[in-house]
Amino acid sequence: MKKRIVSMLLALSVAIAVCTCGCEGEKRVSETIYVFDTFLTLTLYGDDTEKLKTAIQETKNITDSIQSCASARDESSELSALNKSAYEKDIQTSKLLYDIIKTGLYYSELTNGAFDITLGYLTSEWAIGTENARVPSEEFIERYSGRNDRSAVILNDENRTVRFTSDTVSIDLGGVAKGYAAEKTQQYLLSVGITKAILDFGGNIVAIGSKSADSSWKIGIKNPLGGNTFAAVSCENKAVVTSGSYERRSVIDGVSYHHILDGTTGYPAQSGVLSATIIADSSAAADCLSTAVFVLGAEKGLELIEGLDGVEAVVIDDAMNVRSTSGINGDILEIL
Amino acid sequence: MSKRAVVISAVIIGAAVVILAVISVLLMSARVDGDACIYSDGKLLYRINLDAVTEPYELVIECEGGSNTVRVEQGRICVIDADCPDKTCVNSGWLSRDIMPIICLPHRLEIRLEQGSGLDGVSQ
Repeated sequence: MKKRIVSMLLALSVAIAVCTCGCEGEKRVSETIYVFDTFLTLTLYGDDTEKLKTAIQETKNITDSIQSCASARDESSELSALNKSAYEKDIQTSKLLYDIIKTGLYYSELTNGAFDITLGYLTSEWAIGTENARVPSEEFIERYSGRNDRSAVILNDENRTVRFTSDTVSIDLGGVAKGYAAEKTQQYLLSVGITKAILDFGGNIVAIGSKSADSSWKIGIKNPLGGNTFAAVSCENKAVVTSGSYERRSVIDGVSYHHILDGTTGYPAQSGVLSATIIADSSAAADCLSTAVFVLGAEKGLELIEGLDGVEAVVIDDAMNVRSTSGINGDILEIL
Repeated sequence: MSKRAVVISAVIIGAAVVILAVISVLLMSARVDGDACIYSDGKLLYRINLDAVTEPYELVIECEGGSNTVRVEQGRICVIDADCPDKTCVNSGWLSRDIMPIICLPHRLEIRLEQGSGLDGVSQ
């Protein structure tokens, strides 16, 4: 009799234990750090918490090293030193800086200058988003715009040297560095066997793996007019990057300016686009191409992206019309 | 099995069910509805569906002024450590539906409840 009661109580205990423990096994580690003048949030999943924490620390090292060499605003960075001395002179660079510049130049060429890393003089003079923001003089704009200076940056792969053949060139990697850093982080995480993660590099998202065996990650696209998210993209192993005129702004003499410059005019781009979102395998590509589509406008921008394999785009114009490339369908994009 | 044994078993099982129900109600009353949203300087860093949390974890949120450590458990969230001078955020305890958002003024950090979006990130 006692045995039966004990058995029943044991069975009840097991049932309670199962109910209260729920599913276990998958661990999650998340951390937010301040780099690139923005917040980076890394959320990693796996079965070994210590391994995830170690990976986050290594990620910090990756992003710190990229920021310290590629920041145009930091006077002590390797890029700043290069900009000061590379006119008509071969300057040897670190492997890291050389690779970021090469990546940026590749997309400058691919987009025929719609994305342009050689606008450093213009971006620093405008200084949008900082307390020093100002409208450059007409003379300044005339001197530094409409130049297509990407061909004035001479790279030598063998010696990793960089030379400018025009004194109007100053490299600004702000449009590619975050995407590049997110991609390097993704590569590192995969190399150490972390196959499920969400990396949020200041709004540049990399979705590694999938949310679960039967569901994709769901990444929102911010409403460019403010408020809630406007749409959501379902994806796995993709970077989702948005360039928008709402991102960083400055009011100068009562006029509000955004920070994405059009190299042909020297002024913030006026293409009728409020935001351009790129979905691609490569985060660096998505970063550069989102800027290019924003500058080009919906029609030319979507035409550019249609010609690229594995890259899709969603564009919201100033009438809040949503246009996208042919690879985007209702299974991928949900308007909220 | 004797009649008495059946009665005792029924009473034990009944009591266990009642205790479980009471514990569940107590736990539910301390839990929050919707997503916990963590903002730093007005920018949304995290949107966490607290019901979906399977394992407790901690978030270290660094800002230019210092850092806050946030503890996330199934159904609830709080700041457990911070290097701000007043520690108001830490002393706020767990965020529940009945109290104000957790705010750390020195670090411009805010944790508040918002209707769930089901999103894993926001591209912006």
